Amino acid sequence: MAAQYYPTKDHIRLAVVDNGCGLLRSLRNHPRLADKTDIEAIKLALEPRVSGNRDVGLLDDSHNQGVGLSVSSELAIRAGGRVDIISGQGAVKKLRNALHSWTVPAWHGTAIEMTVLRKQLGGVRVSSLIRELPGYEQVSMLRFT
Amino acid sequence: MDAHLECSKYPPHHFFGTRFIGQQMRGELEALLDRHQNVEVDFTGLNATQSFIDEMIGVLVLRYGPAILQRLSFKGCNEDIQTILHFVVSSRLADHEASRQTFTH
Repeated sequence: MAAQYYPTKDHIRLAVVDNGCGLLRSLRNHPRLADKTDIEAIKLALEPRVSGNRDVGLLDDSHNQGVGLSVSSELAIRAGGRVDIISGQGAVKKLRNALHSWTVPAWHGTAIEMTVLRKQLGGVRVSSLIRELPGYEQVSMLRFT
Repeated sequence: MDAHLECSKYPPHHFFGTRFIGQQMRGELEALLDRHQNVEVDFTGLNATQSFIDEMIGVLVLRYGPAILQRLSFKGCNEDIQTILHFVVSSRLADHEASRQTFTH
């Protein structure tokens, strides 16, 4: 994991890299992954409610919600930035509302880099991003004091 | 008698980000729920991620269903935490109902 601030451009760049099995292997059995390629696995991972362990087991503490990458990448875009992901032989760049993809020499794992404009980051409301997630609804049983 | 869980007393005090910390805070909350009927969870002065809230609160909803919500109240939530709570709890109520139907049929 690495982070750096570039004062001339007022950019913050964050990178997270692992040497795991990669997104394609994690999502190979996902019902929405029709084309079993690294690039399609990366694109699917960027969508909300997609996770390698979300649909695996019930009542498991590590059974996550699959919104971390989609929300953080959207946060980067709204902060005037971009997202680059490399996994296996696939590379995908998310810039504004467009995805661009290409192939790379095999990378054993997944690398994610996000660039944001520091000044715009403070204006992005996380609550707005969460409300836009599919399935979001207010729960009347929640009691706030 | 009701209990109060002041989250900012626990490290890292102001920003709770990981599932690991969420699991630890869930342990504190469950210990209070074992001894008290109702618990007020106090998020005053802190920020938290969806992962943390899901691990601390969402897992309890997944395990015990809507009944657990009658024993919990939330204090001092900023707008982000309130929104995350709605998202996490609505999702986990749906997951709980789905798992209940799976085990019933």
